[in-house]
Amino acid sequence: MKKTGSDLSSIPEISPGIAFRIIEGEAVLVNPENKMIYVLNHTGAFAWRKIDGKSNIQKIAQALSLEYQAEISKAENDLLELFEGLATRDLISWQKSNS
Amino acid sequence: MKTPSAFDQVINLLWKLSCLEDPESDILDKITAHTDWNNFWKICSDQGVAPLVYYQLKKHGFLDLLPPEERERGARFYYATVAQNALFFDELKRIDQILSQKKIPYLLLKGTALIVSGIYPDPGLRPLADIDFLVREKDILPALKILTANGFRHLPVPNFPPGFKNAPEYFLEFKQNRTESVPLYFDLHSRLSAHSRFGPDNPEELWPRSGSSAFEGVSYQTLSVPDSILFSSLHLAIHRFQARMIWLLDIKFLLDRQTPDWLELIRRAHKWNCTYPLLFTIKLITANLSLHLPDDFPKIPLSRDLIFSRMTRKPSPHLVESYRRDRVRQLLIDLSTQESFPRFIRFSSKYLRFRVERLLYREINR
Repeated sequence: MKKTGSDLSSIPEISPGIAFRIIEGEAVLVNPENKMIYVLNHTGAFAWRKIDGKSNIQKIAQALSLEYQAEISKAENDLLELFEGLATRDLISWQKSNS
Repeated sequence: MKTPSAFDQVINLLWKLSCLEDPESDILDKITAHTDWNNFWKICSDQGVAPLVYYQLKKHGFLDLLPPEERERGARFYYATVAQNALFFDELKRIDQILSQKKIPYLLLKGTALIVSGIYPDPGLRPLADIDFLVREKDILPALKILTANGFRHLPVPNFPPGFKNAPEYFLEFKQNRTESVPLYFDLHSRLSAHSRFGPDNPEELWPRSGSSAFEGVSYQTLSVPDSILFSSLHLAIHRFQARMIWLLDIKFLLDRQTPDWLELIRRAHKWNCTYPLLFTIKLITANLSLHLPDDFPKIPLSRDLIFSRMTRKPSPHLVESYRRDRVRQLLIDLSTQESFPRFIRFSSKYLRFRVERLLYREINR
């Protein structure tokens, strides 16, 4: 699997054309280009909902840590892995940070 | 006593699973004893009820009765429907904006209407093949113009026999980058039936009775429940009652939502020239599902031949001539290559597609 070179300062944004719905806390994502469907569990869906094209992974990890009372370092590591997986599947892309 | 075929056994099971209101123990026994899961899911999928069956089993805590791999398979049907419908509803939202800007009102029909009005509590429960709109006849051309200007492509069709001249209908194929590989189809109708003798004489009567429903932040107009029931019955009849189970469930759930004034409904069915379709549809539902009918509900003269003779007239000579065997290939070539369409087309393209497919099938199997 290719690496997209993300780090905690990376800002994810949902790729154009991706459709999704949150159903009972899970996120169902569909990429019409390759006809693939992905389902994220509750924590994955929580992170997905936080993608706004402005928040970086660190900020999303803080929200996740607060919501699920998880250690911030664990939340950051999990999110790095999750977003890497989303990026390699073209569900998100990285926005250049202004800072 | 004749033993039901494997197909009939699954169908009987599906009727019950689709409406799991009061699960009986024998249903659970039947699920547990079921072994031919490939056949089960194939029939579920063919009948359009796979996500609904999965949802009902999950809702009632019966998923554990399925082997793990079958649970997974049921989930895939459900999620696939959620995903497909997400694409549809994203585009519907865009179409709504486009038509609203041009002040072109529309009513949603069929499965889409049932989802937005909450007849199905979850958008992943009702698979959609397309989205059907009803617009006023005067709005057909403006709607077509604005939609094509916004990236929709009209699927061109060749000439059609004059027997269908009273049924202007457009068949739009969506063409955007996101759906190049997953085409989404939208039908614009100005009548409820391609056959002018069925349905309301003047579709205008549908509009004052229509209702609005908020769905995903958008307010959509849909047919009233009684009109939806009649239209669905008509739709079944047009398909000669070779109904997918989901179509009958649509009507069952509509009836669950609102018990109609039966007398008024039958009166309206008379006006729409679809009394038999309505009564036969009700008969089909009551034969398979619990449905309380008034004691004085009309006794149905159930002759399939009678219904079919009422609903299906012999095709016109023009129709037969147009679809002679040697024309089929040319028609298909026309369908796939014709690029221009800007003319007022008066026919039912769905019917055409059906005819072409049927004839092609015969051609292949000749």
